[in-house]
Amino acid sequence: MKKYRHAPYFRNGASLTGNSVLERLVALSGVYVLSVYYYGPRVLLMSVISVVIAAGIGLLASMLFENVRRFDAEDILSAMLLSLLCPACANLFLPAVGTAATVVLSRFLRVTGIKAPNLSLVGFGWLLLAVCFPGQMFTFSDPGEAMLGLGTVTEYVPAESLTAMLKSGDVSSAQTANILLGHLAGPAGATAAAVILACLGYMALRRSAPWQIPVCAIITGFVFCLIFPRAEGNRIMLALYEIVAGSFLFASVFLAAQPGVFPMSKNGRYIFGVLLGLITMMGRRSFPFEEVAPAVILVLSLLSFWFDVVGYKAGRLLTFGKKK
Amino acid sequence: MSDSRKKGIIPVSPEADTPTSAPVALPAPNFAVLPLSYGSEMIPISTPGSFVSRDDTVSRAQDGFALASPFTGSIGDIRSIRHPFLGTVPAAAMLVSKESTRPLKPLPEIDLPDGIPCDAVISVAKAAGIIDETDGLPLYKKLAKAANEDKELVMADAAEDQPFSGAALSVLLNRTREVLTGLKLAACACDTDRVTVGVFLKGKRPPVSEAELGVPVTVFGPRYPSVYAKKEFLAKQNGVSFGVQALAALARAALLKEPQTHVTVSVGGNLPEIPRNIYAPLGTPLRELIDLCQVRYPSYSVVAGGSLTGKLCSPETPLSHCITAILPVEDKPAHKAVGCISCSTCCKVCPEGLLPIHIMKSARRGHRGLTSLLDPERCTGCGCCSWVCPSHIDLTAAVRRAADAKKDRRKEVSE
Repeated sequence: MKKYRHAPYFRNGASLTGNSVLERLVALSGVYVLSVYYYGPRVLLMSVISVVIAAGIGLLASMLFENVRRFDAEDILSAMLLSLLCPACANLFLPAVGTAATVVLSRFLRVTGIKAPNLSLVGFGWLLLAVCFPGQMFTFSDPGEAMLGLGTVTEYVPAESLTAMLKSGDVSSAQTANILLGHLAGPAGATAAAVILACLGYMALRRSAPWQIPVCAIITGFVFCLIFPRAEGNRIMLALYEIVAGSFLFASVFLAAQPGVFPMSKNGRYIFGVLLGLITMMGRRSFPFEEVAPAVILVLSLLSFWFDVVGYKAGRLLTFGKKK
Repeated sequence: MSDSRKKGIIPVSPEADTPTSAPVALPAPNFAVLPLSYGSEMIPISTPGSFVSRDDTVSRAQDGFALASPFTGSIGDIRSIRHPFLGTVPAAAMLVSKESTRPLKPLPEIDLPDGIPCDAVISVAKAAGIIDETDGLPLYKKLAKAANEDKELVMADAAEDQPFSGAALSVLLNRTREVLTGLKLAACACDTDRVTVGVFLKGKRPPVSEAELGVPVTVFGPRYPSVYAKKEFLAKQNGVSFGVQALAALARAALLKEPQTHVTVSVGGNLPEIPRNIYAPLGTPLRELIDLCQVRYPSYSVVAGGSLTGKLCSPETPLSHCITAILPVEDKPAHKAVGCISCSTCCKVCPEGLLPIHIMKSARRGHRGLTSLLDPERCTGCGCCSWVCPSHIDLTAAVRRAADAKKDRRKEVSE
């Protein structure tokens, strides 16, 4: 057999990709600040519970199956993301249940030889919660009212989310300024469009996350909603509402732009982004839930490899004759 | 092509880059193994037991291309050796006498006349046995091809883009007149008066300017591999490039009638205490050069070539024209490969736009059709993907394996 020997590839000790998890945590801190401002420290408490449970399960799994004691940074990140995708008024342990399911599934897949990154499985945790606890997942409190208590919330002012308004076809009570600042009912960390876009800009500048997927998803979703509006009124404003409503923006920035979820090639990412925007907008119209974006990301992440292959071949066809 | 130029990496040398200082002359070793063939069929002239003087012809091709001995000494035997760059070639094992070492003679101050005939330059390059260090081809063949193709620009290629290698730049900066004279001769052979010197941008400023050299300077980089930029530049200008060492040898052959018997080599890496450029005779075991740089390490391997495309070889490997950098490296690998973290950096830097990690994974899973679909054969072996991989996966070797497997399957199908 031929022996392949390689050069030593000398290089300096610094990681060329940087600490991507740290970059995401820094970006998420902006989202946390605003959600704590609107809903109080309850959001942080929910996250802490999720993180502790995720880390505990991860540690236990590593001790059982790998004979080492180690924390997986992805477990922590997926716990934080899932808690931000839940309503602030939901049960304190609701995100923890989803996180536990996510971590258990990822470890099970790892043991069976399938390497699925946790972050692509956040969609699974979210879907499980949406199917098992729809009442809690889609009941939101008004962020303009008094801050929520740290215990079980029994008294709060329920409010209709923008996705629910769009589903019912009546968006007369929606205000654009409130929408951009996240001052509207919805998942705890997914409503502040301006902050999420700032996080996207930060991660894109730091090159810790690709910009192609969120940008393509937003553009595709916007164009789709411009052509097929769900309510009466100014089409441009309606399309804008569709983009910032629910967890679509949050999911496309934080869930889709994670290593292991997104395709490797640029062309693959364009395809992923376009399909994410298209399927989410179509899903909102045809599925019983008012939001589907995390579940769509779960499905698309399973096809990432094929987006790369299609994107690569398409790129070759388009540049045929130009390159050597 | 323009896309490829933007990709690649900026190879920052970790600690000690090889200086571009003047090369140190290596004393003749006691024993040497001189390769006697370069690509084409060559007949050894010297026989076992015979005595050869320095610059005597030791092997000759049918077309007159001749290789000379860099040493004075007696030939022990003619043996077949496996060389990392030349393949399996005949070589003369020599016992070298001490009078082999002699200082580099300065080039006489002669103004070359214009209109030197092409054939004259080619015959000088052929008789002097000059090999272009950038591609390992005989210079006379390259000159003849360039003359036939009516090339309009001749470039002296000093654009070394890999870390630790500074031999070309050292030759350009310290033997400038030889390089420029050789460049002029090559331009005469190609019947053109347009010349340039190609350098690689390391840092903020080019290492040499047009005012210093007196000829236009073309700057490539700062991204490795610069081969795409060079190819694009030469295609646009209808040009041809020659290595600076080959051009310096051409000048010495024309003005001093000296055959090419020495090369300048950078010895760098993390192990040598004094990284330096060495002017060494061909056939010298690489260990002699490494010892001159004071490597006090119990056990090391040797990489002949740059840190990205070099080849691991034995310290006893004889020096050849193509080896312009030597890196002694620790035997124990510094990094252990871990699982892919799907960062996609390998895909980002591949100058050919390939998906190295997907090629590796699909080949490992035995998906032949899929691997074939991802075109592993387009890999140029530049090593960018392996260099940037934060998990230290040797993607370059994996892609090459996949490419070879595809080639073998094609052969099987055609048979």
